[in-house]
Amino acid sequence: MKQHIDDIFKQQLNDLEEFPKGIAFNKEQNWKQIDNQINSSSSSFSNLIKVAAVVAIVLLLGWGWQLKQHNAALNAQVIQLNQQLVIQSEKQNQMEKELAQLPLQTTPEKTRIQIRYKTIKAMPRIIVKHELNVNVQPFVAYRIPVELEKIDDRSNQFIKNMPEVPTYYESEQLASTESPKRKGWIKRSIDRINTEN
Amino acid sequence: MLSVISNRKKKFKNLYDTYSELLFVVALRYVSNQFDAEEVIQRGFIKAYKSLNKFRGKTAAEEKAWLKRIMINESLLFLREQKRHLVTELTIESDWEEELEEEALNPELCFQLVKDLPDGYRSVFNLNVIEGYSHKEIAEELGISESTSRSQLQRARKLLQSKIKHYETAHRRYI
Repeated sequence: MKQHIDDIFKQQLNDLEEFPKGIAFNKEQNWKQIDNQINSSSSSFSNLIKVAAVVAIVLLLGWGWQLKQHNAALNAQVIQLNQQLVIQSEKQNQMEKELAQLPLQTTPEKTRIQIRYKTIKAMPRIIVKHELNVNVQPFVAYRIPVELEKIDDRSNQFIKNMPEVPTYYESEQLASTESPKRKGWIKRSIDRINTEN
Repeated sequence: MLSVISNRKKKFKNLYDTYSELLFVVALRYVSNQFDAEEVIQRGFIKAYKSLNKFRGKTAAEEKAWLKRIMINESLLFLREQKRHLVTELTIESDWEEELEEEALNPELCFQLVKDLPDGYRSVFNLNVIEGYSHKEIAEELGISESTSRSQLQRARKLLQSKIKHYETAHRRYI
């Protein structure tokens, strides 16, 4: 019976159940080689897992340590706040005791509540008081008569003692004895002294 | 973790024991050399071990098809690595018929004839005739054109025909 060449080969080779003669396949030897390669790859895989685990542990420890530090700081803050609260509550208790000791008749309930409220809520503040102290004292003013003549004498004497010291004037007009202003001023001074005397 | 690995290995060993010989013959049909076929088998089984957890087949037929596919791919990859020519140009001057007497061939002879084909013819013949790949698939797999695949197959058939004729002639003389 004739058959297409493709069909013959397909049928013969697909149904090849028996191992062809003249071909040797060392099954065990091949398995050993495959097994060695698998073990080496799996050991490298397990090493990778170990490294990953170590890294993960280190990261976790670091994170835990950081968390612990954070918690410690937080606890310190909480303790500090608690202490402040205790101090505040002690103050409050003290205040309440003091208020309790006051006679009820003199302090009405409303006032007490207000006092308590102010004690708890009031923030510390600086109150600047401007105080003006005014001292009124009697003041007696004496007018001392000046003897111009004497002063003039003294100044002249002083000038006489320093004959060589040059005298400077602000302007030539003042320097001149002939100045009408200067003449007038001298005259007025002499007249005033005469009237006073 | 260790138990999972050992279970995987047991399953893999079973696969190897069941299919290694069959797959060795398949590899030998492609690479034609015993040592090369052993190399292909080792590579293929290691690849299979690595992707064993991805394999979802449950029946023996699925396992066999999966492993066969791996071995064929490995064989073609091996041929490419060896830089063997996947396209063979031979001049065959013989009249040939597409039909033959069925009794003329036995499995061993068929195997031998295919194994002795040049690399290019063998790959295309194996993929198309035995595995049932289309010329388009073969072209993609081997990196050749579809027309090249067709011509390679035609030439493989001619060569096989001529070899069968030689064999028959020698056989008759021997008888």
